[in-house]
Amino acid sequence: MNLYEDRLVVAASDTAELNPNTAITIAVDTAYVGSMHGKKIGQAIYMMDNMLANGSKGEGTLDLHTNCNVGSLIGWNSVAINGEGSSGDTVVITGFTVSQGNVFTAAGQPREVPPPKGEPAGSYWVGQAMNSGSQTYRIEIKVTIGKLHPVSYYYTWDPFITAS
Amino acid sequence: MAAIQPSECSVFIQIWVDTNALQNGLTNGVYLVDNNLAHGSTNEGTTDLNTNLPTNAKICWTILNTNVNWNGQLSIQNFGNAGVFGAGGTPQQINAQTWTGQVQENGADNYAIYINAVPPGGTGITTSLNPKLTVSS
Repeated sequence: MNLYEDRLVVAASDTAELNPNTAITIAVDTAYVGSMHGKKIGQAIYMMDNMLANGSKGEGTLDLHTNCNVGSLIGWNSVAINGEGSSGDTVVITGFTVSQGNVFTAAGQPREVPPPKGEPAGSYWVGQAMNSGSQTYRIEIKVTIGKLHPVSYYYTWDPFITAS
Repeated sequence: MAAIQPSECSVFIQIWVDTNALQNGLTNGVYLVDNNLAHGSTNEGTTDLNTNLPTNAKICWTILNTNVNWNGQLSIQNFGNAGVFGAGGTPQQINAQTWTGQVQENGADNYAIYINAVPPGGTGITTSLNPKLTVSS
């Protein structure tokens, strides 16, 4: 029984207001990852954003340097390039850390939010550029190959962001 | 001939579009990647992608926005012909974003892809790409 129904506090939807205007895609060639059997890789992961007109550089590479506005929400979406196929390979983001700089701050630290329709949990994270300046941040992803006997590999790398 | 289903394909080519760049008049906000780096594909992440693949491989092309929340309409309009598609491998439409085809002949050919982006409430922007397929047995 609720004594004061008009005072109930209901949690708002996690993503209702989250529509980042800075968007970053991470596309992974899972076939290449599988062929490397866990060895270190320096390719086959491609980052692209929607901020080329704002001065982003390194599009289509691991060294994406995103230029966005201070205050901008930033969304990261990870996908397998063969996602339309029957392999069942998946790519999810498992975490972010800051290597250098202070653009996110604690308040803007990326967090996992519900994924786009049809994508696995963990494939979509949102953060915010709270401060102006440049920052190097580290992304960790988990690449899972196959369905029947899936094998997972973890990779990290350090892209860049500048907020102004 | 019935169109090849994406689930039958072994080679996947994604066309990522920064529609924000297109709307700002830039022509270089398009990035092509495939899942065949291990088989010698080159120029990944550019419009000059050269996909290396074996004879008779089935290919699935998908167009996507770098901004997953964009609510405009992206589509592949058509493909130009290329010798490597042979007599029966010309790409066919599965839906507005997905086409499939087959490389039935060996060789190396550039091929045209015509894509269209319609921003919400706006008019369509059409552009063409000219990547390459290198086919060997």
